[in-house]
Amino acid sequence: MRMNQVWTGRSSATRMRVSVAGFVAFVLLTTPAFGQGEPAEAFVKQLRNAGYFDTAITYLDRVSKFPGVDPEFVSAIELEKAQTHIDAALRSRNSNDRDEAFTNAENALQSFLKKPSHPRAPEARLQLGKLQLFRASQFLAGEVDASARQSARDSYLAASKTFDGIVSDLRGKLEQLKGQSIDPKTDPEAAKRRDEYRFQYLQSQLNAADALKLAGKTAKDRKKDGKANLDEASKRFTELNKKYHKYAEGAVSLMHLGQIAEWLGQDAKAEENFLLMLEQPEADNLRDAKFLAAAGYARLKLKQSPPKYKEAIDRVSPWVREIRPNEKTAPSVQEFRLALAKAYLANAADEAVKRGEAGRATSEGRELLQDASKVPGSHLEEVRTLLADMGIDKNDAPKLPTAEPPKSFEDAIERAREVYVSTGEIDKGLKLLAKQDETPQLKQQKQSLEKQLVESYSVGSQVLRAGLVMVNKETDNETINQARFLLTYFLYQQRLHRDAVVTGSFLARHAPGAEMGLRGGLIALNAMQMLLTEVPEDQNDGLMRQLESLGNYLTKTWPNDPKAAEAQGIRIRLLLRKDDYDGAQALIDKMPAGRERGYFKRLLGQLLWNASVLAREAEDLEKSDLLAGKAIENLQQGLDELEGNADVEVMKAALVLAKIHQFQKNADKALTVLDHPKFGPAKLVETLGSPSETFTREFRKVELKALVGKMLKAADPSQSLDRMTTTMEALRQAFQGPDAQSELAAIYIRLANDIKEELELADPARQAKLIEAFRALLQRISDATDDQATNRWVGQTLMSMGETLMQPGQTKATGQALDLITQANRALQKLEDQDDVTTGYLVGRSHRLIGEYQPALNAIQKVLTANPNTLDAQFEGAQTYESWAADLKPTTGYKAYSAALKGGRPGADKKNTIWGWDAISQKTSRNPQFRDKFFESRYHVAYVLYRMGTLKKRKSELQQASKVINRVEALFPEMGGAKMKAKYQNLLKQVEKGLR
Amino acid sequence: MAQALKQTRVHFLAVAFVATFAASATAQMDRVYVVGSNSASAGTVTETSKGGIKLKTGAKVRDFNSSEIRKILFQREPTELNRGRELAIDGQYEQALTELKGIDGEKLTRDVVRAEATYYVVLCNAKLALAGRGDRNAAIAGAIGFARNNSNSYHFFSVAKLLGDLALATKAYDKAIQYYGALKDAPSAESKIESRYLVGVANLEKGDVAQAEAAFGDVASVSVNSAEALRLKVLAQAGQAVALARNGKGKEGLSLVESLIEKLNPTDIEMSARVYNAQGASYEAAGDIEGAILSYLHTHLMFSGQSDAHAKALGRLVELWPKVGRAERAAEARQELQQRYPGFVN
Repeated sequence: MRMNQVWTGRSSATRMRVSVAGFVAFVLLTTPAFGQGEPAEAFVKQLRNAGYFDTAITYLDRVSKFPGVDPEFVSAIELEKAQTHIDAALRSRNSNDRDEAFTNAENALQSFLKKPSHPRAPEARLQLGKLQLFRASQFLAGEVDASARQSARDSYLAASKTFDGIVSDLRGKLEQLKGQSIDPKTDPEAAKRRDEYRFQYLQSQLNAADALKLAGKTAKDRKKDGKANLDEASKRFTELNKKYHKYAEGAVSLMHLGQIAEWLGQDAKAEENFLLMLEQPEADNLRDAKFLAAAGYARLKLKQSPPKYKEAIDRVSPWVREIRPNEKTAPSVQEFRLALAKAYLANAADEAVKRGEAGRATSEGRELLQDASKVPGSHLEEVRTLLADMGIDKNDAPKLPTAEPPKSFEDAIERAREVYVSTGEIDKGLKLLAKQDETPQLKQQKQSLEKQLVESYSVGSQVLRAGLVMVNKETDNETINQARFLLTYFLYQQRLHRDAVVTGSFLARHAPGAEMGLRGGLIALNAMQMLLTEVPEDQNDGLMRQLESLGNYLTKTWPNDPKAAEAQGIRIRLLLRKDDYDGAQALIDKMPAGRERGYFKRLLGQLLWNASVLAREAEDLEKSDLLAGKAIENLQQGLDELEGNADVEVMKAALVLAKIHQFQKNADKALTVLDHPKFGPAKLVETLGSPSETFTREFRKVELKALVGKMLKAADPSQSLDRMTTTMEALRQAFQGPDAQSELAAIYIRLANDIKEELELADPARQAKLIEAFRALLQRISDATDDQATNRWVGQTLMSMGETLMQPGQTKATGQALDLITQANRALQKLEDQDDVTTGYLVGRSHRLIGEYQPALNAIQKVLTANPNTLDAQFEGAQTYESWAADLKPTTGYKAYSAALKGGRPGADKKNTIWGWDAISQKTSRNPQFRDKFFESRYHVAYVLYRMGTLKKRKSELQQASKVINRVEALFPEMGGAKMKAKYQNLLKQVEKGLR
Repeated sequence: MAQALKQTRVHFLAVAFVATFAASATAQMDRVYVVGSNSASAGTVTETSKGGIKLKTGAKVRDFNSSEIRKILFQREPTELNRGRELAIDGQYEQALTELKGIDGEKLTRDVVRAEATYYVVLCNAKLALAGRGDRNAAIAGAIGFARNNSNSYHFFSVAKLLGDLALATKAYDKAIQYYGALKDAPSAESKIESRYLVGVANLEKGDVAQAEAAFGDVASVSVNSAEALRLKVLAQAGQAVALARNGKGKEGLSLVESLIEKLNPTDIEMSARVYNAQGASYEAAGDIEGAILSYLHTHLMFSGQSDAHAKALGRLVELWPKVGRAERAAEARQELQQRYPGFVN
């Protein structure tokens, strides 16, 4: 039996939950900080955690003689012993041991409390009180006679007295503190201590009253023999509620008052208190009491004649939906389920109701009872009786067998089967819990279940080992094999892989053709695989040979069994681990068609794609393409062979396939895979959910790229607009976190480049169509978001499209290009990071292209003040002066040309922030890395000189222009390539014409 | 249109360009981090030797002793080396190896960076081998190869110590004594003391208690008072306690260990594990099995981070638990020993 079942066995749920929480808090309070010397507290804690309780007691007996132990710890040894005994009791699965441990704990606490002034005495008293409460509940377990009732009552009354002692002690302390004005800001420690005292003071008052209530409850005739205690308890709860109704303890008193009134037959008073309890505000620490109050209310309603089941159902049934995962096993919830189930059964039994309503009520009642039947506790007997009345036998509820030696082989196998069933239940429970959000309670619940699981497997294997020794000639062979299988399974679950290999292989080879033989062999194979991860590679030759031999044996012995294909699967995995794709492919191709082969094809396909990416990185394009082709083939076949519903693995494989298609510019194929009704992630992600953030990002990225690809090729690009907008939003949502913006921006930039390249290749008519479609898309996106990366992309893409429409040599946009770049400029100006070098550059450039030269220069100057070496911005600055000059009247135009040549906008150091073409060409001439920039800037030097000479009709500037060109030609006869050379030559012709 | 496209393409490169332009003006910089400091000294490593390195910053040249160097980041070193080094320093040797294997050796143009990459591979292989998760002979061959080809590396003495550890793990005690002995030529006083201490440890394992006692005695009596030297002195005293126990003087050993425990800082995992193992040995020698179990449990339950001492404690618990009627706990200890330290069992 699990220990929390013991704690919650026979008494008030509220109190029991308080008790367990109390023990936890107690442990936390005593957690030591490391100091110098023997770390006694930490060590005892570790011993307790390891379950070495006897060793912890031995240590505590000796610790006072050890050097460097904190004297405060030595003075509280009895308290530590008490905690150790309590922990031992909580872990014990034997009732005698448990009783003994609790008795020892109580004695240790009593012994410690002989030093009442010890600083930890209040903790000890609290602990003792709770222990006495628990001990009392133990007396009421099982068959209860008069003597047990008396012992329980005595223990409850002793507990009440202990809590009264705490109350009296704390009252004194709080009164002392009352005189001192404690300011939490200046003295947080004192304020914290005062709050702790207040909490313990209220808690102890509640516990004292509760103990009295429970003492009264022990009486066979509560109205007579229990009345004195119940009245006293009622008085105390009333007082608590009156004084502290704003605190949980005061509010919870209402539920206790309701229970007392119910037991004393004061139904109206009970109902009033239960209802008041239910009307209390929503708060976590009141929920337990509310479930109990709801149960009490339902009981009272059913007690009335005729039973008012409808009122009960209407008032409390909504609470069923309110049960939280961590509350499902709470005793209060079981009491509630039972009471409400009875109300439903009363409804179903009412002959006046229609058959449909009766059926529904029966169904609701049955469900509640079945839920309650899964949780151990004192309610079980009644629940099972009710279920049995409904024709459902629930006596087979999971129980954990003890590791006592089996009486016979049959006994062993029987108990092992029980373990198998119960561990299956626990495992299911764990899987359910794993899906829920982690809370401290849930974590604790999971840990407890995991522990149970481990213990159960251990018990199962112990029992079977002992049982298999008792096999005799009469024992049925099939049952022996079943026992061997279960043993192998339990060993594997305990991660005793070597043991599992031995038993599983033995079973496979001794039961050829039998189901159990195959199952045993498969577990052995899995265990070998686990061992391979543990054993260093240079030492695993033997293991590899064993694995291959067993794998071959299984596939040969069970040739037509799909499960035997799993053996092949393990060998394939090993080949894949060694990157032997051809070997794996050969084995996969030999497998019979079906689920297993499909899985491996998908796996191989993904690995081949990884290998293809690596080959591409290594610039081996031929190999990369070959591998990508094989990847597509395997993935497609693997997905086509899918049987049943797709899962996350399938969804991931489909995404990889879509990604390859997208990479190969087959947008339609990529989208076909993504949208596939059976395995496409577009649908599956809605039903299965996304397996990870990375998956969502990757999926949306591929989807968007494929959509852009489709749009670029489609006859009517506007058809994809809706989906593109949705996908863009989904992509943006998928990228959250510190690096998200830059990652998103990188994706957008790549997309913008794709669009630009496609526009470049398109004929004018198609270009116009595409631009219109993208423009509409960008407008939608821009309207829908304030996201910076997205808006930057919008700006950049609009600008790219606008520039695509401009003619070579055109420096100022017109028509549709002007519209697009103006739109881009406005979008870029909205970006928050105007100080960013790229943003500043783009804003400046877009201003220039739409003829807004002054703002263009302002933006570029800002960039260059912060980053003078930004060559692109220097180009942009010089180009802005040059473009502006062309727009101005000759006089001012000359000045602007001059600035384009010599620079402008002096900074704080009086030097020009915008260098001008001359300085750019000089700086770039020194570095071969910037040779293109040199030729371009030098061309502009000549061009601007030519324009200046033309405007002023002065030959000196034209001669300079000619000199510049001739000098470039002399030094670099290629003149930066054919196109650039042609430009220079054209310019030279014009210069020479001017000189004539 | 082509011109326009060219222009538009250019602006996407603007940011990258800034970096390139600025980098061309920057000199090559290596960064040396010393133990106990997070700031680095920048310059160019111009010379390396067993004893340390020379870092040239401007016209100044500064010497760094090998035992004070925590790490050196070399200018333009591959990212894989950088990540591998950090992972190795963090004790994540398997991941570190994965990174280090990605280094393209052809791209390592400086000898010092090549040696650096090789050293971290040697270190990771050795540490994995010591933990029973790698081939010890291959690790030894790698370390010897490093020492042979990089006799002027500032990692030379670290590798000598690794060789000593590997020899000890393979029970080649004389080799271990030889390698540990080589540390006495290291530049710092602490390394010389450590050399003597480790020679004591190796002798103790070899069973030469007299030599071990002599070595521990030397360390315990040194007059250097740096924090590291004081630590080594306490470790040597723990060694002395074990030596006393081996000579059947359990009580004397216990009394020595107790004086150490009194001043023990339990956050020093290695020290605590060794001291409690020494206490366990002393209790065993004095015939107090319960006491010995409690001592080894200290190491097992609280200081398991020191793997060699933990493995030793588990090994002793396997032997001792059955003597107090707890065979099932011996089985648990054996299982943990097999799973965590398969090499130790071999």
